[in-house]
Amino acid sequence: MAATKSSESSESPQTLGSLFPHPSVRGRKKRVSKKNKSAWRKHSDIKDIEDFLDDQRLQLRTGGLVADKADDSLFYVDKQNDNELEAPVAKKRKKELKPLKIDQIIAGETTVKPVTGHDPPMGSGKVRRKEAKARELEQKTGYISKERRKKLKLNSVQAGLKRPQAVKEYYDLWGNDAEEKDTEKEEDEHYAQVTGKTRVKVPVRTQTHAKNPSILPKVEVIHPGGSYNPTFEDHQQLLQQAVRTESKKVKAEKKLERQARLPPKREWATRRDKMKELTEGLLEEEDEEDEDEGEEQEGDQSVPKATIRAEDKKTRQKRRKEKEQREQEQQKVADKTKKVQEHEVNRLKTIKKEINALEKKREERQKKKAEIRTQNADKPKRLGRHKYEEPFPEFKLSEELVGTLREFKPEGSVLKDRFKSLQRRNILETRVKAKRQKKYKKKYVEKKQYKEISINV
Amino acid sequence: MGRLMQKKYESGAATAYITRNRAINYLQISLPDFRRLCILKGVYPREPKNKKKANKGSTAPRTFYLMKDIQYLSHEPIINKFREFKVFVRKLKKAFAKAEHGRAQTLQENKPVYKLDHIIKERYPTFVDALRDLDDCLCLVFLFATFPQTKNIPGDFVQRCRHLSVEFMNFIVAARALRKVFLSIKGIYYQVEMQGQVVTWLVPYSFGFNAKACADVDFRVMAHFVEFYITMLGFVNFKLYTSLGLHYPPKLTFEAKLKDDDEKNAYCLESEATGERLAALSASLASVVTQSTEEDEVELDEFEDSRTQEAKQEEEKEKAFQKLFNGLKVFVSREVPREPVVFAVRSFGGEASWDRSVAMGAAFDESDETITHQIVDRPKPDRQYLSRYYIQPQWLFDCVNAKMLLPVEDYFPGVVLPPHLSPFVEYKEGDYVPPEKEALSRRQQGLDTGDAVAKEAEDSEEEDENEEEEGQEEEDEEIDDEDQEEEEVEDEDDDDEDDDEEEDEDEEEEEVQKVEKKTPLKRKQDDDVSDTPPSSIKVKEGKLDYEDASSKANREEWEARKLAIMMIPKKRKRLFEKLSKRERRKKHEAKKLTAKREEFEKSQKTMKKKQRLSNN
Repeated sequence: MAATKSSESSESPQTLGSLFPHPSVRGRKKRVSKKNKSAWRKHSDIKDIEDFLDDQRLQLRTGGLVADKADDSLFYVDKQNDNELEAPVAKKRKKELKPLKIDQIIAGETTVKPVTGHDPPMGSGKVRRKEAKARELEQKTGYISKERRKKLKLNSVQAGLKRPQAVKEYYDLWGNDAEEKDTEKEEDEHYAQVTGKTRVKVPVRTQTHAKNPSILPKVEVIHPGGSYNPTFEDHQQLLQQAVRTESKKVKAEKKLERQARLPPKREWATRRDKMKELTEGLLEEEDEEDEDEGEEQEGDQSVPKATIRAEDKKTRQKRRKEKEQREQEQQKVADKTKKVQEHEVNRLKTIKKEINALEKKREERQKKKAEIRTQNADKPKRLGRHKYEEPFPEFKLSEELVGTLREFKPEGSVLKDRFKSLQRRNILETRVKAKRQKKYKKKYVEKKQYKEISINV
Repeated sequence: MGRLMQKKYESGAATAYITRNRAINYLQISLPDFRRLCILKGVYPREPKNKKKANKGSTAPRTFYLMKDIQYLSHEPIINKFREFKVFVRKLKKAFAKAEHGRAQTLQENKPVYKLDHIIKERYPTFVDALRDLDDCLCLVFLFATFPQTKNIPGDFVQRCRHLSVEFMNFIVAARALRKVFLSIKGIYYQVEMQGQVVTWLVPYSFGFNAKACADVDFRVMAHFVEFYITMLGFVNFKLYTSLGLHYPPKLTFEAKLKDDDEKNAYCLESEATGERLAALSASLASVVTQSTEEDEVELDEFEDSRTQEAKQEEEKEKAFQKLFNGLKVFVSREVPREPVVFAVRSFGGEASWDRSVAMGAAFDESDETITHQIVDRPKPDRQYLSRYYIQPQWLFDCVNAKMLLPVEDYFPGVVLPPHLSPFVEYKEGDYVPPEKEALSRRQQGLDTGDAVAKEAEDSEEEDENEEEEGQEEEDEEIDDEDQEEEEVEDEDDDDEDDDEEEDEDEEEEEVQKVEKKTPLKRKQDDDVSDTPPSSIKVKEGKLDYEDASSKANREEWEARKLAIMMIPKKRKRLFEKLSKRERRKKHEAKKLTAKREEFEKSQKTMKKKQRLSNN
């Protein structure tokens, strides 16, 4: 068996614990007092402990504690013949093999990577080499490196690294219905078995909830007069419609104007009126004042002072009599109601009639309501703060009708039409675009520089 | 006394409805997300019967939803996706703010996406349900396909809309499902019939995007609708294509592809070539199975029944209609809007092509001698070929609406076109029917082979030329013609005509009218005669008035009806009167319009005359 050898040739078995032992200082010990803490600190020798700790840290830095390492990593069985070790190596080659002293010093024993400030500058040899390598790899395997991906602005899907998501975008959605349901049921059973719980019941949308919000057709076809080349009559009808809506609008506008108009001059307030208004309540006529005062006095008098006199107090007898009277009256009323109830049997016929009449009335009311509802069924409902406004119908004037498709100009916007249609059919609530309010008021400041430059100089 | 007072607003409308703000709090999502969720799930605001009760005593205007709806929304898994997206946006913002571009990129690569498949399945349990609700979807998808890509429209919506709309149009062409086309001032209305469902939609004319016209439209909301409809139309297209045995995504036939390869380098990118070819609508689609030329028809059991006979006839008519443009080879000039024209021609079995420089997918050149029609929209085209008709585009659409090939003469270039009638109007009894429509319906019934209106116009022209000499004969012809029609119409009219009379206070007037109706033109003739001043007043020999059997029967019927009306109880009489009054008013309006029309025509005629005179 060959002799065991340490992997680190510089070490001797005695100094296995510490890699760099310091020679202990010899000589006569100085006598010093260690009476207080600072003196104690100053003169006690903790060198060996610190050395040990340094050594430990070094070991940690250079590949972990030696004591913790397995034997295999520290030692190996040398099976080589000692004679062979001295195999002749060419002088030049030997030189190549041997690292430079400086490199040895720099390399040290640390396994911690040095901290670099930044990446090597672009265009340096290292970067160029890296790029070339990446390109070669790309050509060979199609793999696009991260840097190049960034450069080409490709994401990983486009670069072919990730599989693109679900190529099958559309499929037969209404095809295998039954299968899905079965799997769902199985899943539920499995869930119940494992967890001992039932799933939350998802509410099903019933027909009444999902009903069509309006009876209007989804696409309302324009009036036949809205053809690009209409018949005379149809076009006239459409124009009439437009006129009707327009005149309604004008009427409303006029009404508003009329209401907001200034009154005629003769109704304007004169100086006297103004004066009168200003002095209202100050210079009142005397008799009025008197009346007011009188009323006030009356009002004051109406609140009597609470004074209890002995003679006002009810006697016990009086109280008893009042009570008796009350009871008597109650009895009377009760008797009467009882009598009426007893006689109600004879009134069965009339009661029936009354009930019938009531029911009839109710029915009629319901009918009326239903009628109103059906009448308003095609009208947009009030779903928000704003009322739905009917858009102005599209039309062309007679002189605008060109009669050929080439010269014809379309009217209105389909997008707007669709938007309004959604509102009309109670799908969207009517909204008004919120105006963005300015947060701060603009402030104007005259700068000195600006002041200096003036034309009037 | 001891009864507990019921607390207010703890049941009924107050709990059945929920305001929008409370709904948002309930679901714990933002307002825009709530809006989107509602649109995707088809939950719309409601108007409670009693707003004050629903609003717990307050009368402030609010938007209400059904509480049940909101509870139903709260189980939607997409809400979680919304929350994920919110977190994603927050992370992304942070990464950008810290200039961590690598992190931002990885975040963007793993952007949370949601699918709408289950919602579509939920909202449309069967395919037919989806077809029924396709109107809105098609409108918006076709509309967004015309938009430019702006910051208002998210993602690749425009592109996807374009793809889907082209796919849908290709299906319509393959299935021959188009029924009606209407060129309106707003846009073009199309109507198709698929699996028994009639779908109508509106496509704007291809002009530039007008931002001003739709300034007050909430784009974000519309984009949510489009988002849903894109997914929906994708699935519908898939189902439609597979139902016809076609490939989905659509593939072109081999010949079309070959042609593609020739052209593609010249006009567009390789990746875009197939899409462009599809959009051209000129090539037919490849099917999964090699189709037999004729569809397998299910042999129905033969019943000698009038109903089945009728059904059969109708079916045959339908089939003939689908092959309306079979054998037509149409060349579209460059000034004509290509897409609607080609769509109409192709979906009725015709072939269409255009100049190679206009777009891809031209099937043949202008020099092709087999072209039957060339669509031109210029007053004076440089005519080159005698073998084809040069016509204006309206002819195609009018043919489709009339369900028959109309005579081309009225549609020659430079000619004043006949009006383009709306195919969506259904005339009820008593409505005013414009003469153009009447002529058309007569032609459809096969009563009139020639064009009555044109004939009238011709007649009038001739009249003008020949003044009064030959006028008489012409008129006679006309009279014969119209008498026939009159009789036909009268048979139907008589009955309702009669009901009017009964309730009419001024019966006399009506009767006079009736007489007029019976012999209107003869009277007219008489008038012509009587216009010449009577030479002398004479007493003529009387004629025996033989009562016709049919007229007698009519009269008896009329009397019976009158009696029946007299027997109407007082209760119902008011309603009856109301109805008849409405009918009378309608008739009156119709009469007014006819008078107007006559006047208009007269003025046109005089204008023409004047023009001619001035020309001469």
